[in-house]
Amino acid sequence: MVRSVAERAYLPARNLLEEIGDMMILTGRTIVSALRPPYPYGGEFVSQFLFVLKLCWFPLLISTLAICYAAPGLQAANFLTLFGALDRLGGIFILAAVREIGPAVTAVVLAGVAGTAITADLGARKIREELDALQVLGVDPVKNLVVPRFLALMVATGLFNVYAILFGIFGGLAAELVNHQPLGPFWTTFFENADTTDLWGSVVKCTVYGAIIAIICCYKGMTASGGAEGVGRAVNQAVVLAFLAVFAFNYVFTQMLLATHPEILVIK
Amino acid sequence: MNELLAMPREWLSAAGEIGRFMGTVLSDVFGARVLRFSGETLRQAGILIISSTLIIWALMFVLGLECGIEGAYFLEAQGAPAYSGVFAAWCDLREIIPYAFGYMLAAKVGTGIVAELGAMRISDEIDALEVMGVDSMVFLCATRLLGSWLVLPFVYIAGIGGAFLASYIAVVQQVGVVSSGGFELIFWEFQNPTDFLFSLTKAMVMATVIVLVGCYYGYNASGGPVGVGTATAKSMVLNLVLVHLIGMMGTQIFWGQSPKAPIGG
Amino acid sequence: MATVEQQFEWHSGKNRSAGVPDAIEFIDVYKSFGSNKVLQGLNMGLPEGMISMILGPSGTGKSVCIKHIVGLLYPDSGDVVVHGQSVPSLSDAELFEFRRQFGVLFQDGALFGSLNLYDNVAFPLRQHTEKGEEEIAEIVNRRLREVGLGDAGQKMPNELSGGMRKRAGFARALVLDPQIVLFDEPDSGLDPVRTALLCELIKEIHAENGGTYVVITHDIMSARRVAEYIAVLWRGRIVEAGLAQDLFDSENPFVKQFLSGESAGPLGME
Repeated sequence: MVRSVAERAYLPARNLLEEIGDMMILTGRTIVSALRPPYPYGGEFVSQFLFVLKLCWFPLLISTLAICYAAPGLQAANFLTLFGALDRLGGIFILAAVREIGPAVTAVVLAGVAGTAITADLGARKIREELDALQVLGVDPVKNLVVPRFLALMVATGLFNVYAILFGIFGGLAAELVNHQPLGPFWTTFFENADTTDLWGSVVKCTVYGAIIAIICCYKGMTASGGAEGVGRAVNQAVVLAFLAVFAFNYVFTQMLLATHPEILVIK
Repeated sequence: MNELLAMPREWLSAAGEIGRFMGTVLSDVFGARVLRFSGETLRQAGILIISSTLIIWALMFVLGLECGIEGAYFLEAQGAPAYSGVFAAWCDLREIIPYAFGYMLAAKVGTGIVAELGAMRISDEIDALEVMGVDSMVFLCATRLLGSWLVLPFVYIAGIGGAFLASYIAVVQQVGVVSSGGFELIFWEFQNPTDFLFSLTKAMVMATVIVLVGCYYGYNASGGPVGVGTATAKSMVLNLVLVHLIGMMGTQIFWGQSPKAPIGG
Repeated sequence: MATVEQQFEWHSGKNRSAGVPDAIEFIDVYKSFGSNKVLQGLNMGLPEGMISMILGPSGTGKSVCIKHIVGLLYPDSGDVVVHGQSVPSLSDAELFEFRRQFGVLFQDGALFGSLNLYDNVAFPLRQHTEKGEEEIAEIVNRRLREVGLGDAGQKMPNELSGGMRKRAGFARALVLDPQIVLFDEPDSGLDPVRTALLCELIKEIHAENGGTYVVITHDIMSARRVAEYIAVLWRGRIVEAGLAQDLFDSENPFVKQFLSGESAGPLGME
């Protein structure tokens, strides 16, 4: 009895560790083959980038508008009304939209939309034995499939972050307007608090998110097993793992940024 | 331009069909037809508990931590660190925790349902059910919905507890801007049972939609294992957008522009 | 694009009567999926109490036929009649009742992945009868023994080979003593020996239980082994139908080509 319980806990844990190890190896191989010539992945990179763009722009637009209107918009406005300091909403938006919610929503949408599509696509190729065929033809799947997706997702996530922040701010403006506030003070506090550290921190963070999502989703797609449930299960695991990894990384990164750049803590 | 609008257009054209599907499943549940399969319902509830609870709590906990840190730093800068409890209370209960719950539910449970039902669809298991004279919509979809209604409120409530604890750890232990007692005083002052109920409502609406969307995409999957993979990915996209929209509408309806707080402004 | 006459040049539609009333009748059935016309005026009768076989090249709508018979699909026009009952006109509730007279063996068995073999076979009994667990156990074990899986009851479907899954699906299809049993490509994905064994099993069980069996296949070997009545389907219509021996002697060029598996003849790669 005790033994069976131990085995039940032990096996999944060991599998998870093995998978994480495999993903590390994949990351290493991806970076190495991205840097080492030749560079045959240009075309695929562009098409993947456009693919991500095409898929994500609409869900991301709705998501950031909705979440920024409601959470840092309405709720924070309520909160600031208590202090009679509704003009500070601009400051909150730096904190909320730029530092946290923008990147978080970008990561969630990119993982949920582009990541799942990548896993489904690679999983399909794996099931149809296209990956084996590639290797037989002497083509390295990491260089030709993973590297362009890795780079495309990194760049796209970084850029989409700016896009998300922009629309997040529109959400905030909408919240100001429903509270019948002039927009002047919002912009004043916003730009008083806007700090390049915040922006680059946010963009760097998102670029790393993109890398994490790409590796997890590519790995899960390329290791999809056969059977009716194979690809669906791979997508399921990929998105769960990507969410957990992204938020765990976010926690560490926020801590690090706040500790190394204490000046951004001060809201003027 | 056409390609860019492909997804919204697809949703619009499928909206009627998805709506009808959801209506059928809901009427199966409310019409008590699902009770014929109470055993299956309990089994689905059990599967949900064993396979998904921990991972949902994990995300809720991590986001609770983040809420706490940001709240503590922000209020310290506002010159009112004593009030970081408010930030944690509102950020946790009203906004971030429902989102965290929705995200993880969509990722773990929603796509899981698509993968499972999609596999059943393409290996003819759903047809086999129909042929054996079992209403497959009731047996597969309604039982899952009822099962999740039995389990998820408790998962959510326990998750809120976890997130509160996380915020407490972040604010009091890690950043250390307020004392434990000070945090708790403000924290509990600024929420009330109504808030809790609203938050629960938000989360349960999300859960219902997520399970139904998952069932729809899985039940109607086609095109072999590849088709199941694509359907899984698509369900995630729709679920994400719906989670955010439900979150926004919930906030607008429940809290709107009235803070419901014990101090005046 | 061939004209209609050219497309159906070989479809004599000749139906040599089997001398017994038809259990299942297709009357001028049309069915299309989008622009893909699958059934194009199908007229077919499958005789009561015999093992009938619907033979045809892949992609001619054989599986679609089975789904029409059990009411999983409805014809665009035309009618499907089973034991004098028009299937498309049944209400949902009637349909579930109606389907209990069928047993269907799906391509890969369609066993429920979450249940073991025993529970899979017991599933219809538990859903539809008031039998106690002891009686169920007795029936299930008998059926499992019949298909040669007497000691595999506790195994899960994914632990079984394709052939075993099919046999288990067969046991499940038989468990409610159906009057009509439908087989969707029982030979797909099996090696010749296993196919032969499965065919033997179908014949044996039919001899023992009687009833109307309908087998869908493109495999001529299994047709020679088990068929008593054959309907050859191509491009959504019957080319010829009749007792097995009559068809194997047929002079129709398409039937001849298909039943002897030659490359020269009306059927090309398309």
